[in-house]
Amino acid sequence: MTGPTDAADAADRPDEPPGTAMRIGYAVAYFLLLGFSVGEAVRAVTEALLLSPAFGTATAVGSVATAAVAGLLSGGRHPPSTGRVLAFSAVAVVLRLGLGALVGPAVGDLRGSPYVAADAGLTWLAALLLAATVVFGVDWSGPRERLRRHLDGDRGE
Amino acid sequence: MTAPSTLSRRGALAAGGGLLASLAAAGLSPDRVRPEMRLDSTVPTGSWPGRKRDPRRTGYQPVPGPRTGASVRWRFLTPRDPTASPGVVATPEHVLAVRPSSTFALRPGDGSLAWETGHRERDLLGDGTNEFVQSGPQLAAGHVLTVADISLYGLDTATGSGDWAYGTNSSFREVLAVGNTVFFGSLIGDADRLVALSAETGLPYWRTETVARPLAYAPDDGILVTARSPAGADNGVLQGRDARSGAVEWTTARLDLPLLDASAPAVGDGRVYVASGPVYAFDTGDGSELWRAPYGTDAFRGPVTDGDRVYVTSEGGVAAFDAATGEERWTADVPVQGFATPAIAADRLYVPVDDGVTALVTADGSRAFRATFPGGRPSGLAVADGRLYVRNERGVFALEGER
Repeated sequence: MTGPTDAADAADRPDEPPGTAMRIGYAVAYFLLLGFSVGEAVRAVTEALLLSPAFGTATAVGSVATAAVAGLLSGGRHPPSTGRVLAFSAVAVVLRLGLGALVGPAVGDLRGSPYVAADAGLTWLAALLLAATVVFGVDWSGPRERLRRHLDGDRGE
Repeated sequence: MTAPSTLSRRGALAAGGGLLASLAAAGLSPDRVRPEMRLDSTVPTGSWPGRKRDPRRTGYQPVPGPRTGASVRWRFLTPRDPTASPGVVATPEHVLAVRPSSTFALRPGDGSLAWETGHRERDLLGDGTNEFVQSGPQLAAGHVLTVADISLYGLDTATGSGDWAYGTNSSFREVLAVGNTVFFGSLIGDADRLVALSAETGLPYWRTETVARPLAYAPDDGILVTARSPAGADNGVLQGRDARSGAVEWTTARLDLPLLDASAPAVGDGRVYVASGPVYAFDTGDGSELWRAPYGTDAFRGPVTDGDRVYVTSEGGVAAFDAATGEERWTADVPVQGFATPAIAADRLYVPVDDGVTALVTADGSRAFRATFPGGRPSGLAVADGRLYVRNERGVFALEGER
């Protein structure tokens, strides 16, 4: 997902699309950064659904999902900067923890439960969408400009 | 003056979706998907769905089993596994038992295998390792409940496929099913907890922090009888808890009762009977002691009751006490062997002995018959649909006789 362009997004949107090597680099970086959010979300839902998963099954499914998302992002015309993807993952994790504390019922370590899977899936979906809104959907040029002027003013005094 | 921060159209859509998902997650309470707690203590006639048959743990089946003699109708042999806590349960549709790493169901007609479900976990290399089954199966709300290692499994009764598993942080054995609710206690998270779960979904109704373990259910008072034995302590106390909330209603004075978990008390007519050394009767309403009868009961076979009498075992024999007064009615010199708790069917008391089962007449303790089979020493007894089912280290045996 991409949002409105501002001056600071110049690095995100070079005039020329990145080359293959650059895209591979982006994909690797995205895979690592999104593992904490997208990968963890898919892993949590998979683990809740399976009764006795073979060791690493849920992690493997999460990794495949993360790789797919990383591939899609790096294959676009204007891949987002790794800084933005890092911010997205960080915001998503923080939101997931907050939402979990607010709305998550304490059911314990219950496996094979569609309820637990739905609860984990909805909470992660909310965290990922809200994080996408904050990081990619908001034009931060206004606040950034105000902050810059404020700082400049402080220095001027 | 700069423009205020703005939201792109995609951003607005994502925000809307995020808010909707948040609301959906908040509204997805377990109460919406979990069936209402039904503490029904009755058991279908002819079935033996759990340890000592019913939630009161009476060990009493009103439908007669073999009365004057019994022969083996079929046998299902298993490898000679070390059977620690097997047990056997039965309905007109299934006979169920456990092996050290699996739960299996047999067809009552011919003893053929209907299904077997292994309990396995995977190690770091992906290899399967067996989970050790801690306690025998119980039936509740269409599910077979089995404890393997540190998890309670809810399996579909018809197929044996796993529906849910509730993980804890320590091994445990004692599970009590009442209606559609399952009670158990274990280390969960960082504390010992007593839990009430939905048998259909595995979702908890309540959890309370205590080392108590569930033993029996007293339906007249809605009391869950629990044992509270602090770690490392030899003795424990009985506690009566509100089965719908887990709140403590009463606590008995400290008793000289080791192995309270294993000696599963029985409940009948507003009394809870405990046998470990002397035989005790407590009021299920307030926990007060009603009577105490001196006897040298063993610690691992709980009492059974048919309402009139309470039957207990020792190394040397069997004794019957009046359920209302504790007065001794009779004793029988029967060398009891094996881990099985005796079972009552109508007017017969089946007692595990070295080479099989001895049936006593409940009225006076006289011998009705003796049935022998390979392996002897039953580790589980059940009477269902007129048959006596026996589990021992050699397998499962179905005994039939004149009723």
